[in-house]
Amino acid sequence: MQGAGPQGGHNPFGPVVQGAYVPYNVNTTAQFADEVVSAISQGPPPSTSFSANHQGAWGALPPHGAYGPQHVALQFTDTTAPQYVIGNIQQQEERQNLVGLQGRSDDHAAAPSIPGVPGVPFSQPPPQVPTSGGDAGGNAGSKEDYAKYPFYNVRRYREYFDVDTKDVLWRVGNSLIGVFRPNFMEVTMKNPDLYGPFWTATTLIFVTAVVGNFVDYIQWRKDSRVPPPSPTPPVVGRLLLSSASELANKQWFTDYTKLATSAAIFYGYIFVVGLILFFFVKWFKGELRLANVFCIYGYCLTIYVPVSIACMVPIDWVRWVLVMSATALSAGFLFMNFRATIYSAAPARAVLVLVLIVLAHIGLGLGLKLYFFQY
Amino acid sequence: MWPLRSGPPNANVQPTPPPGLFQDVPGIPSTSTTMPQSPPPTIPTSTQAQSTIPEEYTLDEPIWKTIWRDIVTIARNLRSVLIPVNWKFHGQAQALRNWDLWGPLVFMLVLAIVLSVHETNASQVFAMVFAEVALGAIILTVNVILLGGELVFFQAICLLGYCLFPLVVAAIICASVKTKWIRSLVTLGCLAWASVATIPFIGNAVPRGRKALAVYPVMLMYVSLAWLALVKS
Repeated sequence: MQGAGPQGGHNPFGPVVQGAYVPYNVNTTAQFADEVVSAISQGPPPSTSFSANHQGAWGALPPHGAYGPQHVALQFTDTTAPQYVIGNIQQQEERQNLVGLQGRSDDHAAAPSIPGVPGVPFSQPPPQVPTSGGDAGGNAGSKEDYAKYPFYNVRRYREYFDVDTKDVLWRVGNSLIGVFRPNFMEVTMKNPDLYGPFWTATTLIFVTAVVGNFVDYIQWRKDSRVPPPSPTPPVVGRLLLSSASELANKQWFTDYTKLATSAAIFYGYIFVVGLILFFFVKWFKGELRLANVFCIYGYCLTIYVPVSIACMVPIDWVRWVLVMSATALSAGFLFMNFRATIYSAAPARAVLVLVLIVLAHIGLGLGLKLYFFQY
Repeated sequence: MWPLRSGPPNANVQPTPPPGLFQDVPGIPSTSTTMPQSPPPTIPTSTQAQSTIPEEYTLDEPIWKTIWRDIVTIARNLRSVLIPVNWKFHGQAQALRNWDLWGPLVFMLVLAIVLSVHETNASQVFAMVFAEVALGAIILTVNVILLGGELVFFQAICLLGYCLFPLVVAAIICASVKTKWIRSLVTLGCLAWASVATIPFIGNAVPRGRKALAVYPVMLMYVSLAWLALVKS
C-alpha cells in the first residue's frame, strides 16, 4: 500500500519510466530548506512500491512525522534592509567604517546565497561610490591623490610643489647655515619639492647675467671716463668709442653663448649630477627618491645668489674669499645631509662617494668664479 | 537640413533668401534681385518667417569693422586689467572672461621690436625677448597650477600679456630718452604699475600661504624685461 508515498507527493502522471525525461520538480511541500535542495539533486523517485525499508533513502523523516503539503517560508535575504539599499550612502559608510576597508571584500565573499532559488546566488550590491585611493578610511586629509590625473596633466605633478612660502624660506635658510645642524634630509624626506631647484637655477641665470652686465657698465664708465650718452650727436671719434663700448656693454647680456652656458651649468649641475648620484644610490639599494636628490642639490645653490651680487666689488681677492667660503658652506651642506643615506646604502665606498660629491661641488665653485664672477 | 526654416525643404533649391533677411540692416543693398544666391545658413532664433541677423554672422562685414571689434576688445581688456578700478565686475577673475590673445601678441611684438631696434644684434635681442615672454607666460601659468591654483590657462596667459603694456610704455620711453634718472624713474614706475595689476590676480589664484611663491617668478620676469629696457642704448 502506498500509504506513506514518496516525499514530494504522488506523481499524478503515473509511474516514472527509467530514463524518461523527468520534469523539473520543485518540492514546495518540504518542511525544511535542505529538503528542497535534495529534491533537485536526486534522481527520479522509484516507481516501485514504496516500502518501509526504503524510507531511509529519502533522508531523514521530519521529526513531527507529518507528511503532505506543508507551508514553509522560503529563506530570502531581506534586500530592503538599509545595508543593501544603494541610496543610503551614510549607513553604508558607517558599515564601511565598522568593517574597515579590508573587510569590504570579505563582505562580498561572505554573502549568503539564497537557498531554494536555484542558480541565482544573491550577493550584496557593490558599494556606491568607491573612495579615492588616497582617502583611506574616510580620512579628511589635505593630501590629494595626484595619481588620478593622466601623465600629461600638469596637476599630476603637484605633489612636487606641495610647499608653502614658509617651507621654502626655511629650506633656503637651512641650506645657508644648515651645515652646523644638518636636518634638511629628515625634514624634506617625505615632502621634497622641485620649486626650489627650478627657480633657484633660473634666478641664478638671471642674477649672474644682470650683475655681470651691470659690472661691465660700471667698468666701461670708469675706463672711458666719458659722461653717459647724451642726446646730442657725438663727434665721429667719440661715436666710435661709445658705440664700441656700448657694443661690449650690450654684448654680455644678449650673448647667447654665455646665457646658454650659464643655463647649462646651473640646470645641468642640479639635474644631471643629481641624476648620477641617484643612480648610484639606487644601485646600492639605498632608499632615496630622485626628488629628494634634486631638492637638496637645488637648495644648495641658493647661496650663490647673494654671492654673485656681492661679487660686484672690484677687489679680486675679496671675490675669491666670497666664492670659496660659499662653496665650502654648500659643500658641507651636501656632505652632512648625504652622509647618513650613503652610509646606509654603501658603507664600504661611502667615503669615496662623499668625497666625490664634495669635489664636484668645489669644481662648480671654481668654474663659477672663473667664468662668471670674473667680471 | 534646416528643420526650423520656414517653408518646405525644396524651397532651398530656389536661390532666394528668406523674406526679410536684410531688412534690419540699413544700407546693404538687396541682392536677391540682382544675382541669385543661396540663402545663408542662419542660426534660426525663432520659427517665424522673419529673422534678424544673428550675432555670429560676420562673414559679410567690411574688414575695418572686424579689426575695429578686435581693437575695442583689446582696449576694453586693457582698461579692465591695468586700471585697477572696479569697472563693472565683481572681481578680477571676471575681468578677463572674454580673454583674447591678440593684445598679448601685439604688446609682445612691440616690446621685442622696441628693445631690438638700433642694436647690433637686433635679431638676437628680438628672439630673446620674444622667447622670454612666450615661454615665461607659459611657465608662470604652469607654476601657478602646480602650486595648487586653479585658473584657466589662456586667461592667465592673456592677463600676463596685458600686464606687459606698462613695460612696453617704459621701453618706448627709455628708447627715446637718454637721461639715466628719467629712465630709471619711468622704468620703476611702470614696473610697479605692472606688478599692481598682476599680483592680485596671481596671488588670489593659489592657496593661501603660497602667494609669494607664485608672485616671485612673475616679478622675476618683469624685472628682467624692465632691466632690458633700462640698459637699452
